Amino acid sequence: MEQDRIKNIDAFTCRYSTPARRSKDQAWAMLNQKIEQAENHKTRKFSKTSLVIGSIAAVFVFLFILYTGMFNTGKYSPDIKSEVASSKKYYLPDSSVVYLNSNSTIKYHYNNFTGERNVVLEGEALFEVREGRRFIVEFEGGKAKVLGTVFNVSAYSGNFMQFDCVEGRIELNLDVQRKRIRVSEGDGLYVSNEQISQLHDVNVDSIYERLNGLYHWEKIRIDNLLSFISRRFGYSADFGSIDPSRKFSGKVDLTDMNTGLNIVSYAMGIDYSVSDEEKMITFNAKSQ
Amino acid sequence: MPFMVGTKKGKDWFKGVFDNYYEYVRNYLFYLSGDIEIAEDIVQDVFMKVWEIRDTIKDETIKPLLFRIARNLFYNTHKRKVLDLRFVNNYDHKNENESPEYVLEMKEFDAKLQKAISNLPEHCRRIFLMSRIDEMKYHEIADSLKVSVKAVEKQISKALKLLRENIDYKV
Repeated sequence: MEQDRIKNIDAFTCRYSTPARRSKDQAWAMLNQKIEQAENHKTRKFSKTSLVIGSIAAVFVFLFILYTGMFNTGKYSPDIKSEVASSKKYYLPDSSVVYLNSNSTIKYHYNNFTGERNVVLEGEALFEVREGRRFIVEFEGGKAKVLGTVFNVSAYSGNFMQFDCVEGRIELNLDVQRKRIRVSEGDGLYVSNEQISQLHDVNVDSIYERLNGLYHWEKIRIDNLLSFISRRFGYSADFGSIDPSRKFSGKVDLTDMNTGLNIVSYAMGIDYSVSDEEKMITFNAKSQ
Repeated sequence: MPFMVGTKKGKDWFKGVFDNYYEYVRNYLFYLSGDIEIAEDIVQDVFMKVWEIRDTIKDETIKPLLFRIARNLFYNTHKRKVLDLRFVNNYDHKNENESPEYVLEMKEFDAKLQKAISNLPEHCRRIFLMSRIDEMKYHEIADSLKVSVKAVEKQISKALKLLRENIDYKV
């Protein structure tokens, strides 16, 4: 009887196949088309005549680039925004990828002359940077410079920032510190209240999980954490009677604000009230 | 899955990789997502990525690399969720000796089994389906997912145990 059941399960499962929307040939054709588009984007072949015309045009283009590069006024792209409690994937012109986390904004500008890539960030974003010229992320409180690398910047405000370097290396230039700070692959750090605190190990999976609203912290000051959660959902935080220096460690689900706040407030013995009109969350120590 | 590589990593090499692994990677993404549209979209991104980094790829690591890229691309944009996997059942009910009751019973069993498979833990489900639907050998699954053959064996027997219990319980 038992053997029959196993046989049935096996016999049935072996007869299953996955559904298909397109055939393998169609998938191959589609893939080729994508590759062709990507390759065309990178290189273009010229005939002899067009080469001559192209060379002349190139001189003008070069002079124009030189002009615009030298007198570059730093014109940025329009703002690219993500909604509250959702993430957004965005390809920059050099095919670097930016994953905007909840309630975040970027705008970018590529310097035609130096090739330098500049991104201004408000909020939190994960960057997968294509190798190339210098890539700079500016945020309230400083900037990060990189070559090709993968890293996460969380900077909803200049009072609390978190940097996690997944691949490569980033160089931080913070307003609060004169010297440059280098963050290597696998390292992360918090910057709060104008000082750098705690170097922590970076777990790759957990960095990508942040895009789904799942966060993990080690010994983060409670005021920093609550400010972060508030800002993430577009609110300000008011700390009434709580001791801001207490520290929290653990996982927090921030897929929606109340779930996250409930986890932290339960663990830390805190009450909170949300004012949607004032966009303000007030925190107080739990009454006995 | 024999795999021939060309001398140069051009289109021939890439076509070889595509021919050998497309279906496995697409199915793997289906086992993760439960949605064939998502699986077929992401599998395109997987092979685009392979094309971009082809010069840095070692042939002996291509298989686990494909599955790793697929997994990462999927989880970068999608949450883990409860799945509702709908497989195509290739069984043909044309055998005249089968009574209508038997056919109905089998259909009911089929529905329960598909639901029970959907409810298997993710890792266990992927391995079980790679073995049964893709007919991959245990050592091939182990190579692809960078786990030991023992771990594959364990997950398969766990899957069978859970499926048996789940279907028994509901009957």
